[in-house]
Amino acid sequence: MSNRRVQSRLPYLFALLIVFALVAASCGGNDDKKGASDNTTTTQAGDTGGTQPPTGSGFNEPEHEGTPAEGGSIVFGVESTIASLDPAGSLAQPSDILTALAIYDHLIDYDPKGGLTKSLATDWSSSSDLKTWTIKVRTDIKFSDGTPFNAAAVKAQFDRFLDPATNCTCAPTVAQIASVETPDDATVVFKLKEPNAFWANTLAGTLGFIASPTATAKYGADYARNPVGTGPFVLQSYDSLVLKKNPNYWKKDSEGRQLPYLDQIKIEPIPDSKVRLQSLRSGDIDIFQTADTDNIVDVVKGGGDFKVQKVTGTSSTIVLLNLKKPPFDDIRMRQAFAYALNRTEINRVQYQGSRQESYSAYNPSSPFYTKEGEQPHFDLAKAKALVADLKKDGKPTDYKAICIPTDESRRVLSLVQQQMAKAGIKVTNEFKDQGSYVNQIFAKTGNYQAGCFRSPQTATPDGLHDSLITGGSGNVMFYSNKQVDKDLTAIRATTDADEQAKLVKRVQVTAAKDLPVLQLLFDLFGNIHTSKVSGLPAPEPWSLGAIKVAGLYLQK
Amino acid sequence: MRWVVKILALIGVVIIVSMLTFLMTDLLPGDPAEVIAGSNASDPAFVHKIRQELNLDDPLPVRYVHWAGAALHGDFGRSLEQNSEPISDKLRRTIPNTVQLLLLAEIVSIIVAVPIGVYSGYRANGKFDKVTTGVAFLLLATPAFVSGVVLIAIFSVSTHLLKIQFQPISEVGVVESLKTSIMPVACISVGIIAVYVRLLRTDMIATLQEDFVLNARAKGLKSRYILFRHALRPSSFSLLTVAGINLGTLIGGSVIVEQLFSINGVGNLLVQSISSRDIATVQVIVLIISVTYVAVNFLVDLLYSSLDPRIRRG
Repeated sequence: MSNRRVQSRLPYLFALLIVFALVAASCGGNDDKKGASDNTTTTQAGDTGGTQPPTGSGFNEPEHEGTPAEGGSIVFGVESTIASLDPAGSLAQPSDILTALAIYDHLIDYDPKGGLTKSLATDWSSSSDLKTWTIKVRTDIKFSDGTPFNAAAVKAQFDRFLDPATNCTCAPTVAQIASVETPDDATVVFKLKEPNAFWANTLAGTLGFIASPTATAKYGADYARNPVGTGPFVLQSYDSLVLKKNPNYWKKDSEGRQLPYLDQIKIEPIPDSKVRLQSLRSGDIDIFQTADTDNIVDVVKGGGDFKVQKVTGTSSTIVLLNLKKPPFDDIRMRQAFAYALNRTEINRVQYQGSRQESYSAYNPSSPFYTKEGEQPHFDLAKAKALVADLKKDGKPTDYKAICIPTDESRRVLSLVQQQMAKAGIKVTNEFKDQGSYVNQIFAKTGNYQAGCFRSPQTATPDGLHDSLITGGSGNVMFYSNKQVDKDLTAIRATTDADEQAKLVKRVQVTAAKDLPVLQLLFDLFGNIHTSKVSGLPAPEPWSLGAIKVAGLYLQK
Repeated sequence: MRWVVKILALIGVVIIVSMLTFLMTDLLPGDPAEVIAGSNASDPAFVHKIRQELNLDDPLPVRYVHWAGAALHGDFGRSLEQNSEPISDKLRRTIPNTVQLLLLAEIVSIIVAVPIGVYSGYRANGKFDKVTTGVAFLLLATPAFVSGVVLIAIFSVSTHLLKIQFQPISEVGVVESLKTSIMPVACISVGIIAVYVRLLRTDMIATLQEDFVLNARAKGLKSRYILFRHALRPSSFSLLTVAGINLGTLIGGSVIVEQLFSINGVGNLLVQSISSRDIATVQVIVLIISVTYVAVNFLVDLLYSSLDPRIRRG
């Protein structure tokens, strides 16, 4: 009898065994890696930060080991499919930027220290009133479709940006342009409506990617998927995302060798972040970019022959506060919010302590950072007192925050919700798809109380202009401070670096008192790769961690 | 005559579905013209121009006729995303991958499930049946994101046997593409096989109690001959119905598997289009899914009658 009972249970035991086997298999993989990590931690030379907090402003020195070898191909994993490769498109995702950096050259480049250096443009200068910018460009290069590059190509590009039919996301920026002229083949003159000392920096961003005028005319609305530039690689097809070496590329490395070194790069969109790391471990890909902190922490913990290039300090997650609407129209409420916000806890709980807390738009290592410009640090008692004060006056202290529905935003906002509750502020979180979120906040109807956002890059003294100046394109908080307006305008109207630094510091000090936005943490991006891949350059200050791939090579 | 009526009814279903999907543009909150305008949405003149270009100011029935007429010619219009890619290009990139995986998954599932289901039904409550029942429930309870991760851990990370990323036939050829299909197909099939086995087993048990089976056995026919020649056919109705429905469901419903194996498929496209508010693309995908549903179920109806002569006559 008992024998039969045992027998009838057998199938279930068998099933259970399979469960154990599956679990063991999945964990087994990890155990192996953990065992290995004890032996190999010291070989992770490329990990620029290790377990210490990441440092620097994103301008890491290029990684170099040995002499660059020519040839070979790699697979580059990215987080999302490519939306657009048109400089007039948004180029908002790191995957778009990475691919665009391979196809195009800039008029002006950033050097590893964040200064400007020549590329398609050989020289640039401005009139004393900073309203006329004269750019000298090369005339000895061709686009990969054979079209010659010259001043006319640059003008064609900006004419296209300015044409409303293009529907360029750059519209607020190019609205500064009064006219573009080409006195000769090698000269482009930008006439601006207002002085702007940072026009050259604009030409080092996505607007400075010059597209072949033949291709933009030929493909029209389909250009975003048929990009043609002067860059080191040529896109074979939008479907397969294979980048082939441009054999006629004009740039050479510092020792006179022809760039790029690699023959081919395949861009592989891998939306799942865990799978990205596993693909690197399995050898399917050689390198990937990521904005997922877990990837960076896991690869350091997990060991293996991998390296991490960390990029931080040029953008941050922030909370936008609507100054036009209760409760944040009251400065005491904004202060209460600031005091109740515990960045250290968010960093520890959500990011395993890997991020850098942000109290000001500029990173402490930036020349434009000032300690006096820091926002209030966590102080629950002060927050409680302010809330009590507000409630005594019969003012509302509850608010609704809106954000896009990512896993990360849900977790961060629910932490903020708990922190606010401790100070007596009741928070409702609402998650909306990206389209309606953008419409609600950036249509400037003022129909929100608080919103999450990733701040634009703040590497230059001009970085706060659009978001803090009264009526600025990014000023969705409806912030308006006469002193700040004056300083921000003055920054654009001077070339004196010390004066600029002085002014931008004053803007930060004023804004830290008015608190139209709350800084949370600096973003952390990473390029994770096998030790065979070498030659990673410093990422662009605006590129969300995306790098130029011309200098990548495989170690022999 | 009966088939003519049936086909007309099907066309009616497709028209109604296409009308309903078209209605989405009007029912969903937000203005597509504003979405297209993006950062220029604050300029009313610009938004107005887009509305005119897209004929958004025409009455709904007029717009429907325009849209349906173009769709019949294979012109689905352009996506509402910033890059305004023609929707037919998006479909050309995604549908072959989805079709490849679905057909493989269905074929594999049926090949595996039929013998197991038949034998479990034949020896109901026997040792084999109990083991397969246990395993079937286990597999049913295992979500694709678990089985997928386990497969990747075993076959890619530990042993380097298979590539994680799916590669389309158009890029790497048939053999390589089939190799990269193994894991995603296994992931999709695992759950389906379990369902098919359970269905077939139940029907098999019922069929095997029928008189004609007893008769066949009395004639001295071999068990295998009775099972597969006599009993399988009348037992496969539920299996066939569910297999048909599955095809429709899986077109847009294998998003998790598509994400795990980086497959550029219809499910991923649907989710992306929804999150970027690309209603034009969503409409077309929903239409395609519903047309497939209708067509496949029509085919299933046809198969019923070849399986059972009574349906043909009735």
